[in-house]
Amino acid sequence: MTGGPELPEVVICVGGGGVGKTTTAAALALNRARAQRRTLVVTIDPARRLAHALGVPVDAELHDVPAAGAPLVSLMPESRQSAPALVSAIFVGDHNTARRVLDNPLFVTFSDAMAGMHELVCMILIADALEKIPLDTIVIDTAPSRHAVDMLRYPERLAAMLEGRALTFFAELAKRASRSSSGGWWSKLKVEAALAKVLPEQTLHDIAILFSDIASAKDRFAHLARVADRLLRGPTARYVLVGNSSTAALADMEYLDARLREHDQRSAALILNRADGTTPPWLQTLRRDQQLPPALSEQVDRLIEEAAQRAQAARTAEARLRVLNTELVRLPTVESTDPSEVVRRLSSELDDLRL
Amino acid sequence: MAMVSEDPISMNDVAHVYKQLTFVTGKGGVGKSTTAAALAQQWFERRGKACLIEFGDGEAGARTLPEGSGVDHLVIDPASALVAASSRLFGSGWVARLVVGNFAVKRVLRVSPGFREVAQLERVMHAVLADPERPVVVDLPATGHGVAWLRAPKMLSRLLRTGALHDLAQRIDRTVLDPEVASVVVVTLPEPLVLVETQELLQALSERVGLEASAVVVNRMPEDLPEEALAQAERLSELTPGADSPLCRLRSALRTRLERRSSALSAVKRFASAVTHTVWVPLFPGEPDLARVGEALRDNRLVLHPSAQSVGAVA
Repeated sequence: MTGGPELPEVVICVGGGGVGKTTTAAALALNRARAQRRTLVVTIDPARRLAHALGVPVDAELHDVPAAGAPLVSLMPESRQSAPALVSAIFVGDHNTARRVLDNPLFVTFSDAMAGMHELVCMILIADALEKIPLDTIVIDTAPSRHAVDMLRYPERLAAMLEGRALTFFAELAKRASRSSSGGWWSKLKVEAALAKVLPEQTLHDIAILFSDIASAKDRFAHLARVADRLLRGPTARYVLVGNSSTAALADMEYLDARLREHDQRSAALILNRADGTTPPWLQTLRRDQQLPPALSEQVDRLIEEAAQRAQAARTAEARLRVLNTELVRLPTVESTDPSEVVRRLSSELDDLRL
Repeated sequence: MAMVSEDPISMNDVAHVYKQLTFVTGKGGVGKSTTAAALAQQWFERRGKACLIEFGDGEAGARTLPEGSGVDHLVIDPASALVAASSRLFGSGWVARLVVGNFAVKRVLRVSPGFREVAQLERVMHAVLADPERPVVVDLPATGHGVAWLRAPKMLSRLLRTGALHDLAQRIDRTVLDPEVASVVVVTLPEPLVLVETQELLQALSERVGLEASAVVVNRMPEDLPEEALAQAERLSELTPGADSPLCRLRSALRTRLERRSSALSAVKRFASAVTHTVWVPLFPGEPDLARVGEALRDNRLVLHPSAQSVGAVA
């Protein structure tokens, strides 16, 4: 297995929180699926918002999105449920080892309590999904964080760990530690002795079991990690920065763009949400043509003022982002309390986006 | 629509009790950093000192804190926090570097970011212990990560049960997550789905971290709408057919605004049953403004003068 003959297009949406990144990712995925591309949309952060918008459950399974009316599949693993999915993807058919790993206190702690682990698990699940269904496009909605770009290297680092001697070192840690404690003074200077000093014996034992279990499936695990790495850093990866016109979101976009460059990646497009160019025509019509009662007229004035402020902010934002020298798409504000309506409307605005 | 005209502040009958350490968290983009900075600034003005802690590059604090603000701004970098914490753990910087730099340990640390979080909380612990009189505000990462962060020391100490690393994790847990010392302020927005997630976050904090959120800050709360304005819009829009007519668009814009406000009010009633103090920060046009957010925190009794802080509940 070499990770499939052809890589699908991988669109990775990054951006700070609250900028509509999840909705934008859904709109992008819907747009691709409507063009008859078989599309998988994945949210890393457990996002009920998107799941709700698409009418799919939040779990570690692949689900068809019936509401799309197009070949769209979703994967929205919740961080607390992703560990069993990971284990079954790695230890295919080996139920005993899978069980033992899931029961290992170290694994339980790490898969449950450690931030960042979930990103890694999601990427492995995507690599696994690629073996199950044919895909033309994968749209990934990353966690709303400045650290989102860090996950670019997780699969590669994981693969490097699995392929190197680290597994053996930890699988033999308990043995080495007891050997070094009975050895001469020089063996006290070893790393295993230092670790044995701060960790209880039981933990050293659990570490040994966990790492030898992982070693038994390391080829499969490392293969999935390599596929995940190719998805994130290969020739078909496209990074889309999502933001809005606020100073905080713009600072996030600039920061993320710089971090991508550090990882030898470029942002393929910038999407600016709520970036209407002008006051909506219906508001202008209301002010111009209608004789409105004072209370209502006051509300119209307020809406017009807000719209004007948004348009001004969008112009300023566009000018500021110009230095990034990347295609910029401005999306309008969609006022609706129905998320699926927002996704549909934004999806039709993305036809011209070339990645 | 009776709910809409209720005065949100009068619904708020639970006072916020001052704790030295405040973690500020919430869904991404709800205004966490601004709230954290405003809180630190307010406490500085009342208590003469305060510390704002941020993880990462320190951009948010630098952007939001006013020029020459007396607030101590501590930016914790994960890599150096890890080396510093390990040095204390192993009793020597030399051994720490030996272990952290070991080929196998390094590889594992690179794929398990959780250790860095515990190390960063260790720095928070030192900031708290450095001066018990100084309020410390921590700008935590967003929801999912926030809970993971706060859980990490407890999980580690439970896993290990004994040994030096266990002792350190337990000490961090007992210092920075002690309900007597620490409180959590959750920031949210008056949008139905965000409010649902906030409810889940409050539950996760209580059940999985063991800290009850002491306050919920509802940010960007739209102003109340005069009832007659909506009534007029409803009446006039009925005269013009078509969902896309300007008057219908106006009606739905006003309805959206009102829905946001009333769903926030009813969600807060649910929060209130969890004995949580609620703070309303109005929707300001344009950029968030530290002074105005701070004013709202003060008006909502999140920040009180030290002499008035002993009040347990306000009738």
